[in-house]
Amino acid sequence: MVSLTRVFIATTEGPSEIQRIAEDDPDVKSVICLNGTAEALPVSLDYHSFVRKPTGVVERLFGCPTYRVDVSRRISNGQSWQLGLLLAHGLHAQGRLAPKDGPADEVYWVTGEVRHNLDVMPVDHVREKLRQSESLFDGLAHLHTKVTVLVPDGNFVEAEAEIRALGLDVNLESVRCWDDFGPSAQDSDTPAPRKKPWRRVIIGVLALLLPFSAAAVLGPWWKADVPKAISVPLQPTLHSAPVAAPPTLTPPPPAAEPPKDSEPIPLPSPAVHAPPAAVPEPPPPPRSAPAAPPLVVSAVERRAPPGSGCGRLRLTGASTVDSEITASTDGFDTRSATGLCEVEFRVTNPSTERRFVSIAVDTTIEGAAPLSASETVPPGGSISLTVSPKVWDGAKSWKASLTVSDALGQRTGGEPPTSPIKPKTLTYIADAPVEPRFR
Amino acid sequence: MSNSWSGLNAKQKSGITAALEALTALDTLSQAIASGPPAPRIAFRDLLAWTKGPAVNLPIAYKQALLANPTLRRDFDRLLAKTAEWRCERAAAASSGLLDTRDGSGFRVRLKPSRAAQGQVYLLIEFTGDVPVAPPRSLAVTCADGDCVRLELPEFRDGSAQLLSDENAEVVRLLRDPKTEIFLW
Repeated sequence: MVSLTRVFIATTEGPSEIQRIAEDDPDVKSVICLNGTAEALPVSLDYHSFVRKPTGVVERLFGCPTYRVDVSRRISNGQSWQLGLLLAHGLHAQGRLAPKDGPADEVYWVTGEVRHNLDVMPVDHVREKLRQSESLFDGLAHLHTKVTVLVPDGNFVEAEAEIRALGLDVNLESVRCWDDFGPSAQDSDTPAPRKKPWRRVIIGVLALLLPFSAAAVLGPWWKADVPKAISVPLQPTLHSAPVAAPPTLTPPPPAAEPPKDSEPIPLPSPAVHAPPAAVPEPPPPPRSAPAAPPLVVSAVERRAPPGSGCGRLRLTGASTVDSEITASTDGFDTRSATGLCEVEFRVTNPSTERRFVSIAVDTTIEGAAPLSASETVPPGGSISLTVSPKVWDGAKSWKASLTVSDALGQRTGGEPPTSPIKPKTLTYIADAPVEPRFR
Repeated sequence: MSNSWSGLNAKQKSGITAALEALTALDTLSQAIASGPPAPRIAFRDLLAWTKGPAVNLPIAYKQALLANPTLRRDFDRLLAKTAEWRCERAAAASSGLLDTRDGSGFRVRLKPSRAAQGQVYLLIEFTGDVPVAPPRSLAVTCADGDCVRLELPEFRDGSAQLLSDENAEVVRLLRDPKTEIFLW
């Protein structure tokens, strides 16, 4: 009977189970989807490149140019999913990949980047990934499932230290090159790899000798206390040592040991993707960026000077009398339409970063089409739209509605993004209705 | 011509009474319908915000407004036409049935059922000529009856972008409909 293996891709958000691999139409690109849905993850394009010849390795090793993979959790950017997916492809080619919700004889937890020459490169955040998978490991240990943590050679020491710190009951294996792990498939003259038995030859294996016997003693306590949901972040045992806390599976750390986040991580060989040894992991990004200052909305009125008219100005190109009015949160004050030639609605970016701004003006001027514009506005820069009442309608009342939004959904006036866009209104009132023919 | 009530016979009086009762009932029903919550007024700025906002199906209120207001519909069509850099007109009149390929100006949209997942369809947007330096980020499909769907497009690579959708998604239905127009920007 064939033994089945389940593969988890390690991510900093938690382990992502590879639920299914299926061959697809060569006419489409390979995709990674979430939980069997039609949601293709953004990493799909990179996966496609990882599969398809000539850049990819999966087609070269296993023959098919297009795959669809379903995973249980989002995989964000980066390349550390590559080793796990390659392993899953190897198992899939042998019919040994455990299906979703099906039984599995063993579990692989994998992280690593695979180069085109099949070298396996170290990756970042291995400690964090292990911590985020702690409840998964605990649950699998409770089920007596064999668990193997597979990392690149360059991450072995780091992974070993964290596994020890967390007191995990797992095997730790490392790999330097896929060729050492499975049959060489770099030579295109070799038979289709999927027809060859895929052997699991492990190099760099070092089993950890941890006080796992304690697990058996503490098993009942664990069962009652450890959360089942793998998405629940667990408190790292090195960081917490409350007096009243139940015993953990981890031996207590030496008193002088520094916090592990700042612990140097020695790597045995120079590695392109190795994390900087003494640099602590970056803090998680803030949930929401600090609010940018509201966009500044103003209108520049251009009027004919006394004794002149807009029509003459437009014909002669003479200068207008300009005045700028600034909008309040509620909009503009009502203005006089007399002598008004045109209005330039202007939105200025007061922040220190570029912002994508959309602006639209809808007027009650008869026959005037709505105007709109969008562009990325540099700090201190502005975007504008100009409205020109008809030359002979200068003394008619009219109204303009100005709608402004930026890419972050910020509305003018600093309203929250969830509020409806509130246009700013500028009303021009005719001082005295005048028949056009008398102007 | 006029008739006095007293000059009508019993059958005529009965018929007129029935007609008046029916009209009264119709008025009552109309008032009850009219007294419901007022429909939100959709303006051009709302449509503009929709084209700039997160990609979603056009809300029902917007569709109703586009159907009820030809001017708004014209402005919306003009907005899409001005915003879009690539456009696929309605298919030729001879086209009938559902389409799997739509050819636009410089691009093609193909629908390809997934072999790996039943009930899902790949949407392939491919440039048939020169690949633009700044590929589009949005796709909108509109129908004369007011239906409209907008999608955010993923990154283009080698002149094509690919989306995956459920077979019964509205965007798939609209893309297959020869009466729809496709806009890319």
